[in-house]
Amino acid sequence: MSWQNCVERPVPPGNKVEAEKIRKFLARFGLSFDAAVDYTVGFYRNDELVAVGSRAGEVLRNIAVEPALQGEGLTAAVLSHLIQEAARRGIYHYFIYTKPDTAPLFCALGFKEIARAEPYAVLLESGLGSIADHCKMLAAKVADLPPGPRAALVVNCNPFTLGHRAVIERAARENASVVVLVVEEDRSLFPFADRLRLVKEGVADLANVRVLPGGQYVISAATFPAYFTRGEEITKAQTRLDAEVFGKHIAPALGATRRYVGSEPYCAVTASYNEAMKTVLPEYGVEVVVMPRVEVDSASVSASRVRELIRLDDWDAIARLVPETTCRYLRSPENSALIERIKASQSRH
Amino acid sequence: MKTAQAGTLESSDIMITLSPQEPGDGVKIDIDSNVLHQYGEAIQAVIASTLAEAGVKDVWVKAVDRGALDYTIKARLLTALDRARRAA
Repeated sequence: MSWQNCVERPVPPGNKVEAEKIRKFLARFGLSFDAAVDYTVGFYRNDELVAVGSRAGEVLRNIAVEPALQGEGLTAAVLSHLIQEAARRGIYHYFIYTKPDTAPLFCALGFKEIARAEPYAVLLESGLGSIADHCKMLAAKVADLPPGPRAALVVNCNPFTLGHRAVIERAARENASVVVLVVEEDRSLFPFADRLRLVKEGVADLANVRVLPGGQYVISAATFPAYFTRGEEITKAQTRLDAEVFGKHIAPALGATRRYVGSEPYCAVTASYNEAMKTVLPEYGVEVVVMPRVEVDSASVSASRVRELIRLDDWDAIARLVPETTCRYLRSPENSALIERIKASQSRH
Repeated sequence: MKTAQAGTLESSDIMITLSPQEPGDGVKIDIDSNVLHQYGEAIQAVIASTLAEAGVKDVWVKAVDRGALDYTIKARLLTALDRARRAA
């Protein structure tokens, strides 16, 4: 059977009829269709959908081929189409997040494995640049830090609070040096550039602390894709995979043997992430140090509490939860539009 | 020059992506192929000589080969080069 007489065409965003067809098609493969992708291509034979693939940023996803036509090179055709379209958008590096049993199919097409979380998921990449290049760059950025035990933290800091400060301060006291990676994915209310700056300003007095952008290999759209496996497995797959990437690649590149985290009493995903780290990281020789949340006004300090207080306009309480630098930023007239946006938002992030 | 690409991942084809580098960096060629063991050096040679003929000195070439013949490799590389230069 040949697929050569297939017609390939982009699926126009917002076309509900086509989206429904794709949703049904993907459901057969245990995949869900997230309409928030940047691009989707469909392959049709006699007007019937036989293969599909999407791209969201650098992540190629929802790649599925009609079982009767598998082994005919349709997967290669779908990938080629997606990669060529990505090139037209100036994207030359790609991730695929897939199940372990389908990974070899993509590896035969030039994709390389970054990490896996058995039995849930494998993260692959191809194109220009790789995790090895990224790690080389990271190692160069921490090469001048003092020798001796080194700790690492991955923080979102949305925004930077005295709670973050307390964990970093403790890490700085207990280790020769500390590397703080700030999550780069822009999905939080406070933009990445501002979050990064507030962390840098908030720990500027700690000489052995280096603050760096997290890059696309820590808590990113690639390591934390919000789709795929169902139900509770999603969280487990994502958190384990992210921990695997960190333990296998990032920690050795940074020379870090400890990872500090704040305890997580509220958010189920973050709590599960801490659990995944405690399971995975020791296998790579990285000790996980969990620090209880600091308390102010007899409640845990957290960025979500700060955002809640912004909505309540309680600036006296905010001033007790954040350092002077964050406070100045929040009160700056330049950021009044952002503050208004936060007040209007019900987002937890 | 700008980053550019040509070719596909289909059988008997090669996908070439190239990215200009700083002057003096030289030519860097990364090849991934299902026939790397037998033909890796031959593919490398075709790419290197085609770049030399085109007068390209500082470039990073990433090739994902699926059993392409020499003519295909050369054609895809020249197309990628053409796109890279047109984009500049």
